[in-house]
Amino acid sequence: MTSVAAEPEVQIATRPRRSAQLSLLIFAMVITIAGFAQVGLARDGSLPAGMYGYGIGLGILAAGAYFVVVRFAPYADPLLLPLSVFLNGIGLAMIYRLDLKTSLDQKKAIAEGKKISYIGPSTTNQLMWTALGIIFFAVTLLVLKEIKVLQRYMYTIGAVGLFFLALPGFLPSSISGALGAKIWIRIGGFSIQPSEFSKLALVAFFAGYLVNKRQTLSIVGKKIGPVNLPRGRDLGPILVIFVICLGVLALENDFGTAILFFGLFVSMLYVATERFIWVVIGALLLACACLVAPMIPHVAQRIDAWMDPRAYFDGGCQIAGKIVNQTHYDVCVAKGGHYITDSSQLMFGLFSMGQGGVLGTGLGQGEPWRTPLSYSDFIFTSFGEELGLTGVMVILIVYALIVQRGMKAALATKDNFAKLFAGGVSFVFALQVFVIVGGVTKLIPLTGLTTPFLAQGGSSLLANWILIAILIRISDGARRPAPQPIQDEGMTQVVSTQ
Amino acid sequence: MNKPLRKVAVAGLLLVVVLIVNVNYIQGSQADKLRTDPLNSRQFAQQWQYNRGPIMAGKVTLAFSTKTDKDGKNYQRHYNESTMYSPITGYVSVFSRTGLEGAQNGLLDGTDKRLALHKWFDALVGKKAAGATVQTTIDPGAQQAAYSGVKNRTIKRGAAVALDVKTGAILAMASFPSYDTNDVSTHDGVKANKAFTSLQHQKPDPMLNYAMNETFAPGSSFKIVNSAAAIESGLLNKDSSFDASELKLPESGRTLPNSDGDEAKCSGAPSLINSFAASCNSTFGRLAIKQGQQQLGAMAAKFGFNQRVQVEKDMSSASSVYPTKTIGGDSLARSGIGQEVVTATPLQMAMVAQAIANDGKMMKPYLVKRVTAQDQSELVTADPKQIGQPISADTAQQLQEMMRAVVDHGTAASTIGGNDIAGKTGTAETGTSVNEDWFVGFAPKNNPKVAFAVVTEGPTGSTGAKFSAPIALRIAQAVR
Repeated sequence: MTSVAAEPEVQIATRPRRSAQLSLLIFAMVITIAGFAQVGLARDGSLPAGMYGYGIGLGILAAGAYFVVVRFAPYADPLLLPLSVFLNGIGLAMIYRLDLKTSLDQKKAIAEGKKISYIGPSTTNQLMWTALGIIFFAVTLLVLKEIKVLQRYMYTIGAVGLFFLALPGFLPSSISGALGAKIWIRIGGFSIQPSEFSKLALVAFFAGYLVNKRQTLSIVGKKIGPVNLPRGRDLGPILVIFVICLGVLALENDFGTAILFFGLFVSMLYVATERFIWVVIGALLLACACLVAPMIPHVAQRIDAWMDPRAYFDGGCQIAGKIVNQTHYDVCVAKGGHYITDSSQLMFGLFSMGQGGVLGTGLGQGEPWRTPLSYSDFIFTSFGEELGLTGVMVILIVYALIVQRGMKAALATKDNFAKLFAGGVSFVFALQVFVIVGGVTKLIPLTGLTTPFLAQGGSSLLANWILIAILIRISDGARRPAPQPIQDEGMTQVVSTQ
Repeated sequence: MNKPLRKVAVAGLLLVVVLIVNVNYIQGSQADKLRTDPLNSRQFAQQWQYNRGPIMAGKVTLAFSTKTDKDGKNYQRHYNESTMYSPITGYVSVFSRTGLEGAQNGLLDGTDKRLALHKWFDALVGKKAAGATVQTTIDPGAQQAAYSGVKNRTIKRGAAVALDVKTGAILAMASFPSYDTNDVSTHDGVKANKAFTSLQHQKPDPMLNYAMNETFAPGSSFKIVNSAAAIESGLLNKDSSFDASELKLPESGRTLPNSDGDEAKCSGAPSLINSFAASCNSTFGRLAIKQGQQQLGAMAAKFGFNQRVQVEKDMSSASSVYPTKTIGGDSLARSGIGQEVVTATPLQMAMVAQAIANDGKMMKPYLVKRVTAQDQSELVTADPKQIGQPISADTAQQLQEMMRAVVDHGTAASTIGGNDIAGKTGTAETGTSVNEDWFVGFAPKNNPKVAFAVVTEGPTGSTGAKFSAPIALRIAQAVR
């Protein structure tokens, strides 16, 4: 622990920032409601009826969250809540815009007795999940008074996380599968994506384990060349869990989450041991993975479609290095070819962004619905079309701010477990944004991950709201001034510090 | 643990920075490319919302838009004299865009960046820029002469191209058979589909631009290229005498026939200019064998054979062909008179005439003279470009002299003799009952302003001199 003492103090304000938080929150709400209004005016020519309902609903939720933070975590970072409400709000506005059930034209058509079959986003569902998310946020803040509680139960949390991560892989596809990946648990009308929660649970486990073992990990061990390898019994358990995670994710065809877990593992090991060699080893492993991954058909398809999406626009069949378009899967395989899923979704997403250009078409005035899943996996390109480069830059900067506020809380807190936890979740948050946004913008091969706070999806919203609650709890702990002994003449009070 | 934590924080930030750079690349610099990507179907769905600017030829409006409804949300495209101008304007339909409508789409519909910069305030508040006016290089008189001439003369297909000698500007580009672009530019997808289907069933294809997207056997008009290669290499000059006696083909031993009635002129060893004026197959078959495939092919390539000519963006010609794989002696002899293995687009032959008339300097052909925004400011001005010098000025002048001889006392004297025009006739027998009749040349004969190539398909017995030379003359007279 010698190095810890030498670290510079992190300068932070140690007073509540209620008014800053409140004004930012009001600003986030104003943007959201303006978004709803613009959708209504552009799409239906009038202020939408839902604007007040959804606006007030979200407003009440945000106000509730604000009072919980002010009351139970008064010293918390004032930015985290408004930023999350902002993202959740504009996400809701975009889903409202894409939800045709809310359009006047469709309401009129239904009133005229036309039958309309509808598959698409649901604003009501998303608002319900938002409500549930913010309730979970409040409950987390209320229940989790001390972040250390998580450390105490770390083995239980880790085991539960692993169990739920693995569960969809062992359930029949009818319950767990969709779009080539087996990552859901569907019960009744609801579907849960357990990996979203397992992610948090495993961060907690890694953080707890690494805090306990960090000194043995970094000091005791064999030295091979420049590498100081830890003892097997110290590193073993996390390695085992890590390999199980990756195995499970490969089984479930969920490579996006596998990337997250990998990044999480490497970054936390690096922070805990303070040894850069872990990053080097991680990079080498990643290079190996990049060589092996193209051998897995599901991955190979995505890589091919990413390298040359125009060639596979209508689906393609690669026979002896030549691409034959518009070939049916069975025909292609029968000819001994290599079938590649069609890349039209990726291209539609890019066309959508191209249409938006620098300033965007304006909310409700573009055609983002041309991209399949424009409200979930591809919601980022929908923003790209309607809000333009300007809008998506704002969204990316808000993500960066959340990451940096989380990192700041990690730097500021004195508790090592909290430090590792906050650092871990913040980095994973950044990595998740990178993998999905990079995927839909053709920076990296596309893998399905949710766009935090924006995309339609309950599990993701709940998990992210819990994540923000924990970051707020950690930052509150970090910024809370140490209890001062009261020096009052004539009176002596015994101050008990925990 | 704060030291590594800070580094991880920077790494997290870097990930977002990379994303920001990437979205800037996509939406900042790639946006136009993505919008006009042929796979991007949304451009056709939205195109009726734009008030496209007109396409003009001189003072004649070729294409224009009108509102289809009172609130002006949609516009219909109309074409004047559409059958005459279809190779130039092309069309906008619910499925595709062709011709200048496709090549100049961004400027016509107002989405081009150059217009946005111009009207930056309108762009900022989301107001659509008005479409720009595209002024073509077409001379309406010449186009009229070319189209009606070809239409009246040909029994099957025909085309004519006229170029400005000094700049390469396309003054006329006519193709027959043609079609009414108004039929396919309807907003109604079902009607448009019907119109397309009916056009696709017609033979010959009326939607093909025969002036640049189809090749024909150039016949004797290719003797210009043959002579150019011989003179440029120093083998001969126009006055050198060269064996014109009956030519026995090296492989088959068959005779390469001269045209009927030319036996007297094509015998002995007349000067090159006289063989050229009489269009002696024997002379030029022999000349091809003497020069060899490589030398002849190299000259053809310098004139632009074996490559596409890009007239405007997305408007490229078919590639004219002089074989690059080794051919036999018979074929080589026939290639010297533009038969069998050689094919050329009318545009290519007009470019050959242009280079000769311009003392060897070949100019890039182009169709857009000027693009102006609604406030008359110029967005694009044509910038004539030299794309090569296949022959020296001296060779060019000798060839000009030879082409004048064709009209003065050669194969074209009986039909257009005495007129201020020069050129080379060509009549290629295709083995079917149709001849490809060519006239390739320039006018006026001493200070050339316009270069042209006319091809018509006539019945057996028809000749370039009879069928195509008079059309060329009328085009040349219209330009003046």
